[in-house]
Amino acid sequence: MMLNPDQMDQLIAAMRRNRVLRLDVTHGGQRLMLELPCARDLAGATAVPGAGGRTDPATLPVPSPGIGTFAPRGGDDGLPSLSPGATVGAADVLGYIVQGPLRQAVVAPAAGILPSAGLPAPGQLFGHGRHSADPGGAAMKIDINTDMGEGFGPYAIADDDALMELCHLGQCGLRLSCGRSGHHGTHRRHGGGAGHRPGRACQLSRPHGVWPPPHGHAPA
Amino acid sequence: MIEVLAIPPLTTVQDLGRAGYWRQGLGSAGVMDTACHRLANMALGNPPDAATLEIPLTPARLRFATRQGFALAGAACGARLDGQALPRIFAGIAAAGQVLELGVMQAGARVYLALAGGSTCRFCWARAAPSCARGSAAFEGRVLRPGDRLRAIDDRLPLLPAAGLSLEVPDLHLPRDGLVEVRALPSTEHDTFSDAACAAFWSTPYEISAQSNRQGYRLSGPVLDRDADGELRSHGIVPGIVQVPGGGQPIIQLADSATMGGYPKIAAVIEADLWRIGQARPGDRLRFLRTDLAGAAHAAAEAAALWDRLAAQLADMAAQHRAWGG
Repeated sequence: MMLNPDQMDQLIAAMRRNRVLRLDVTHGGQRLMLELPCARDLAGATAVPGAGGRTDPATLPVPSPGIGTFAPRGGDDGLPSLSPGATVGAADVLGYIVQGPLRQAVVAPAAGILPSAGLPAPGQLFGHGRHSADPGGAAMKIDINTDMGEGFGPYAIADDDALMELCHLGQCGLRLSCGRSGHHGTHRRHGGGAGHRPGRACQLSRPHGVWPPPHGHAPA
Repeated sequence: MIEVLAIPPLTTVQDLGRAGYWRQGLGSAGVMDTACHRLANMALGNPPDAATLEIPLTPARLRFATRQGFALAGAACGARLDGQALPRIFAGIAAAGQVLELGVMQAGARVYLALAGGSTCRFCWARAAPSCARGSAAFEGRVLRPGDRLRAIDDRLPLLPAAGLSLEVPDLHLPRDGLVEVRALPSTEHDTFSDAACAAFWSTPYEISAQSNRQGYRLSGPVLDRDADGELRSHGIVPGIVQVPGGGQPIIQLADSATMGGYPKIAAVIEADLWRIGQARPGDRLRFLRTDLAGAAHAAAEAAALWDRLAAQLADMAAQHRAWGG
């Protein structure tokens, strides 16, 4: 990879500092795309520690160590939970960025007091470098172009239910390709990628307010 | 390398035990809680059978003599690294000179401490390294004591997130009513017990008594009487066997199980659930859930699949960190 996590953090800080919303770099066959989707990210630019800008300790942000959902400490981890206004020491565990059974520790960047709004809500989605202790920060928004309905039988390659749950939470926009408008026979014959269970994908999408648009046909 | 500064009795170096010596009267030994032992090793990229410290009593203090990857898993014990509170399951890198403190255990009965090592990781005593290569249980058959220094053969550092990694904590209780529930098969003499005894055994919780150790847990609850008379000849037993001596109170054989015994056996706890007993403490209540061979095989397959999934997810994370130049 062209950048390590520390370099990535520096780059994100520089984007905030210089009010850059989007960066797309291709190098050596690899591509890195960073996007700050809302004004809040720029507003917090001066609070990034070590970024060279002015630091306001009252609003010191905590970068997310990875991509995942937030879980506060104090669940089953044996640590006492933290309430708004709690005093924390530098490097104290505040919570975790969760990916399946893995939990990457989110630690306080300095000694201080948790803001009155407290920690993010459990389950809130974060991208790498997002301010996981910034209570006002919106969840990372992901636009997904996905070919659903492909997981069937032994091919457990797609978890349509889990994806729909994210959409229900408003955490991603979705362009769903499930062959709704296509003639299934045509797709199957010509490899149009209708998915083997397109009906189920459409069925799943409706309670979550997602309506699948027509899926492009492969040439017949 | 890590040095023991203060530690209560009964801390030992354990792995998954030795197989193949049962007929010579040599039990398998090994960890009491295979699940947390595996979690600690896997979080560091160690093989699952790499040796760990099994710590059944706290408080304890250990100092890292060198920069060292380490992992803790098991009972919640207010662990601190140079005063920094650590989650119940945690893998991270300690700097030379940092002190790991384990406080009072609040939930669970044992803490496992693993050091990052290579694929053939075995703990060695710094002053007697050659002797430990064969040992799969506590070195020299003794417990650890202050002044002991241990190192992993391979000193490489693990690929971990900068602030450390925690893992989902396996649930000690099956999802019922807060009891530690373990699945068990009826054993050879099950049908020689009275109907009332069998009914009580499979339905009534038993309390783990203070007369419990790595060899076995003695339970207290409804008295189990037999319809049959007479004594049995001694016969082979294994960890998980539930014996009922004359007093009618069952004993579960555990990691340091004897290889032979003559008490009648009412049941055998399935291997997939033995770790739950390893984290249960005197005073905890325990209930036996009856299963059959198919159920035991299903539980074993489920456990194997869970470890495979976790290994794959950890490998993905390590690959990501490797790609990031971590």
